[in-house]
Amino acid sequence: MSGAVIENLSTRKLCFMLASLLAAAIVFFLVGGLISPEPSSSMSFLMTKCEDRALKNDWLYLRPKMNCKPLHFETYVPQPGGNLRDVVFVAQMPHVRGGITLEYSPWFQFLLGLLDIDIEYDPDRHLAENALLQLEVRLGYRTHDDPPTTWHELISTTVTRRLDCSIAEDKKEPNAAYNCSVMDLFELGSNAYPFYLINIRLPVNEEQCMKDPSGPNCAIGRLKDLSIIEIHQNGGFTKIWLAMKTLLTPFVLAATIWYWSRIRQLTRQPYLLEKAIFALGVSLASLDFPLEWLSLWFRLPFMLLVCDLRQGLFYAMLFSFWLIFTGEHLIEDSSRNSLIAYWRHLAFVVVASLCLLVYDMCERGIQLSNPFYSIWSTSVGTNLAYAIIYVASLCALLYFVFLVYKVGRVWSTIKRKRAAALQMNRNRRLKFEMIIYRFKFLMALTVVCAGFTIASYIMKQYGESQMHSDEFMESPLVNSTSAFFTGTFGLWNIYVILLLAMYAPSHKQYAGAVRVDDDDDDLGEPTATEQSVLATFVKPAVD
Amino acid sequence: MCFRPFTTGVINLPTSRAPPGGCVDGTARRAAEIYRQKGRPGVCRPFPPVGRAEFDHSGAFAIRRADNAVCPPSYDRLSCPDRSVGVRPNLLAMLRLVLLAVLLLLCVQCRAISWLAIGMSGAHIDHRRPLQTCQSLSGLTKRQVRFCRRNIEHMDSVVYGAVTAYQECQHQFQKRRWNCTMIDPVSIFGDVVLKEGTREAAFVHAISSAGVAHRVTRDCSRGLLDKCGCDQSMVNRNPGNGFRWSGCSDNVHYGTAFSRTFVDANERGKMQSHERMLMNLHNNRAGLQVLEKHIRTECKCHGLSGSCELKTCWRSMPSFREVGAIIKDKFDGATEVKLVKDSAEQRARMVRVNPHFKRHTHTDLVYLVESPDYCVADPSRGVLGTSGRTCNETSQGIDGCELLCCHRGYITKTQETNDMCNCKFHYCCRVDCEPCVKRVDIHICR
Repeated sequence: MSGAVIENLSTRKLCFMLASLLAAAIVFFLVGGLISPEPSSSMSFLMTKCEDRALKNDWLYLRPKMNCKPLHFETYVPQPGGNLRDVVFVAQMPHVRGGITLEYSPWFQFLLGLLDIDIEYDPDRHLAENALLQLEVRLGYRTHDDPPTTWHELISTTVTRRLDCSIAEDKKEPNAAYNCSVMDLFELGSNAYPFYLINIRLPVNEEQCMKDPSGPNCAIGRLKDLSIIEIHQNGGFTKIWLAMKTLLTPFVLAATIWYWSRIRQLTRQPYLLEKAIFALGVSLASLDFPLEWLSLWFRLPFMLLVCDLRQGLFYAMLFSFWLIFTGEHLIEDSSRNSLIAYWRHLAFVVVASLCLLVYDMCERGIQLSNPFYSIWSTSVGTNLAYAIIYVASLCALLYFVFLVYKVGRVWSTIKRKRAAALQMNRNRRLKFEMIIYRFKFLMALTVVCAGFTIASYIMKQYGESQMHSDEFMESPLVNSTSAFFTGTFGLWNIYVILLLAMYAPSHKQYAGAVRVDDDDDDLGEPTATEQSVLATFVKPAVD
Repeated sequence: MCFRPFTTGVINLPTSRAPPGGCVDGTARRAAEIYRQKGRPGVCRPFPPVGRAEFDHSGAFAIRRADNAVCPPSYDRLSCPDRSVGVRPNLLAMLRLVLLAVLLLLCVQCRAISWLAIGMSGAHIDHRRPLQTCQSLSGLTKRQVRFCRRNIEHMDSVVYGAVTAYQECQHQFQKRRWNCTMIDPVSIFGDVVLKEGTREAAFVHAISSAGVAHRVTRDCSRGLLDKCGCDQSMVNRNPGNGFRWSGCSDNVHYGTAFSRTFVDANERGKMQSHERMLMNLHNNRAGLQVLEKHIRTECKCHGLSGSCELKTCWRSMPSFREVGAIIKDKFDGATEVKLVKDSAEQRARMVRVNPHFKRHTHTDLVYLVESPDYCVADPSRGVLGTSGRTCNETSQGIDGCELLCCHRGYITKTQETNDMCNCKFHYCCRVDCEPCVKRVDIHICR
C-alpha cells in the first residue's frame, strides 16, 4: 500500500481535519454528559408474600386491589400442614410513584431481573453451603388494552439457583441476616409490554428432602424475604444513542463506499491491509446501523443478542486490524500480504471471539426461548462458563502481549533502518520515512483512542461509586457514565472514518499505475511523481 | 393535667402473681403491678415480644401475645383518661376537635417522643377517614396530625416503624440496666427519657426516626405505597415522564425525608426547652444519617457478554438489626453537650462539654445530662431499678449478676419448664417437636 491520502495531505489540511474531528469527539462527550441520562437504571421490588392454599393457577397481584392475603414471615407462626408452596411471592412491575402508575416502554430495550434473597440466621434451620434454591416462576404481562386485573402468561417455568450466603461467626445470633449474593433471575431482550407481574413459589418435596437433605429448597435456612431488582436501559439514553447511530451511519457508509471505490480504481489487486481497513469499515457500519428502531414497533427479543454480536464483530475486526497493520509494517518480515501468513497471530483473536460467541449463544441465545435460563445455575454450566471466559481472557492477554512485542519490533526496526537510511539517497529515504510516518500516525491515533477508552472505563467505574455516595448531587460526575459511553463510541467512529479517509490510496498516485512494493526488503526507488509530492510534505510532517 | 404514672407505690416482686403469658419480663410485670395498685384497668400491658407484632391482611395492627392469642385492639386502648374523649365517636365533632387540640397541647408539653405510642395503641388505620383516624392516634402533636391526615396511607408504615423501633430498642438493651421497658402505653417511657435529656432519650429518638424511615422505604419498595417519590426529594411533579427518560431512583431518600418531616414535627413548636429541642432534632437526624450511611451499594455488570462495560448499581438497605446495633454503638459513644449562645450569630449551638473528647458529627448521638445508674427504682422518674431482673451468672459484662444487680446479690431459682425438644423444621412453616421437661437455673437480682 503506497501513496495513501495521508502522505499527500498538507500539514495544514491535516491539522484542520484533526481539529474538526476532535471537536466532533468533544461534541459526542458533551451530548452524553449534558443531554443524556444515565445509561441504565434499576428499581427494586420487595416481594409481597401471599398465602395461597388453593393452589389454583390464578394470578396474584397487588394492584389495583391486592387479591391475596399477605404474610409477614418475620411473624409467621408455623402451622401444621403448611408448605412453602402455599406461599406466593408477588412483585408487580413497575411501581406506582407519586400517584402515577409507571410503565415500561420499548425504549427501555431490555429488562433484567435479579433476585436478592434475605435469609435470617436460625440455629434450628440449617442453611447449607451452596444450597439449591428452586423456584416455580410465572412471569405475566399486561398491555394497555387489557383490563387492570387481566394478566397473560409470558413464561412459566421452574428454575434452580445456587445460594451463595455467608455470615461471620461472631454475628451468628437469631435474626441476624446472612449476606447473600444476588442471583440472576431473568433477562428479556426486548421490552414490549408496559406491565409485568411475577409470581414465585418455592416448592418443597419433604420426602425428597428426607432422602437428600441437600436437595432443592431443603436447606435454605429461614427465608425472610425475596426481592427482585430490575434493570433496564433508560429511555432517554436509548433516544440519544439511536440518534447518534442514525446520524453516524450515513457517514460511515459513505466513507466505506468511497474507500472501496478508491481501491477498485487501482490497477493492482488490493493489499491485505487495504482489505483489512475495508472490513473494519464494514463492521463499523454494521455496528452503527440503527437496527434498534425496529424494536420500538415489533417485539424482537433477539435484539440484545444481535447487539452483542455486532459489537463482538467490530472488536474482533479492530484487534485483527491492529495485528495486520503492525505486521505489514514489520519491514523485515518477508511473508506477508496474505491472511494465511497471520493465522497464528489471528488465532488469538479468533479463539477469544469464538469463546465469547459460544458463551453468548449459551446465555443470551437460550434466553430467547427461556428468559429465566442461566448458564450459571448448574455446576456444569458454571464450569463451562468459567472455562470459556478463562480461555477468552487468556487469549486476549496473549494477544496484547504479542501485539506489544510486535510494535516493539517495528520500533526497533525503524530505529535501525533509520540509522541506515541516513546513508541512503534522498528518494529511498523519503520512501522509507513515508512508511514510518504512516505507522506513527496510526500508532498515535490508536494510543489516543485506546487510552481514552481505558480512561473512560476507569472513570465509569469511579463514576458509579461516586454516584451512589452520600453526596449524591454534589458529585461532578453525575451524568458522566453516559458521557463516557457516547464519547468512546464517537471516538471509535472517528477513528475508523479517519482510517478510511487517510489510508485510502491517493488519487494523486493511483492513475500513474506505479507499484511500489513495500515487501521489498531494500526499498525500491520511488518514482518521480511521488518524489515531488513527498518532497514538499515529508519534511514538515515527519518528526 | 398530664398523666404522671408513678408518684406513689411500693414495688414488690410479684412473680407468683404475674398474669399468664403476655408480660415480657420482670420489669414489665412490675409495671403491670403498679397499674394494678393504682387501680387502673388493663392489668398486664405487655409489649409484644420481638417478632410478634404484625399487620393482619386488612392492614390493622394487632398484637399477638406469647400464647398466640391476639389481643383485640380495645385491649390496647388504655389512653390518658382525659384523652379518651377524642376517640368516642358520638360526641359532637366540633367540641371534640377543640377539646382535643387543647388536650394535645397540654399533654405533649411533657412528652418528648410521645408519638412512639402510636405503635402501641393498636389503632386501626382507616384510610377513608383520615381526620378521625389521625386524631385518635395517641401521642401525635398538632403538626403530626396534620401530616398524618395528608399522608394517611403511610400511617401503617409509621405505626409499624414505631413498633420495630421499640422492639429493636428492647433487643439492644436487653442486657443493660435500663432495658427499654415500656412504663405505660401512653407515654411509653418515664421522665428519665421523656423529660431529661439523657443518653437513653437520645437513643430512643434516633432509633425511632430510623425505624420509621426504614419501614417507609421498605413499604415503598414493596409497592404498597403509591405516593413514594421517584426523586431524591419528596416533591416530584411528573414521575411518569421522568421514569421513561431516566428511570426512578431508590426510595431511601424518600423514606428518610418522610421520617424527618414526621418525627421532627413532634419537636417543633412545643413547649420544651430550646436545648432539649436541639438535642432531639440532632438525634432524630443522627438516626436517619446512620441509616443512610450504611446503605450498601450493589452492582451488576451487564455489558457485552456480561462484561463490566455496562454496570448498574442499586442501593440496598441494611437490616434493622444492623441499624440498631450501630445506633447502640453510637449510644455508647454519645457526646455530652451544652448549649452555647453565640452572640454574633444570635443562635444557640451545641458544644461538647468536655473539650478533650472528639467533636460530635451528624451521626453521633448527643445528650444533655448524665443518666442515673438505674439501679434503684425511682418511679417518679420512670426508673424501674434492676431488682427482679434475671441476670447471667457467668458473664463479667453489664448483664452479669454482679453489675446488673448493682452488687446487691441475687437469688438463684431452679425452674422446670415444659419445653419442646428434638424439633424438626419442615420447610416451610411447620415444626414437629417432642415435649420434654427442662430444668434451668435462673438468677434474679435482689
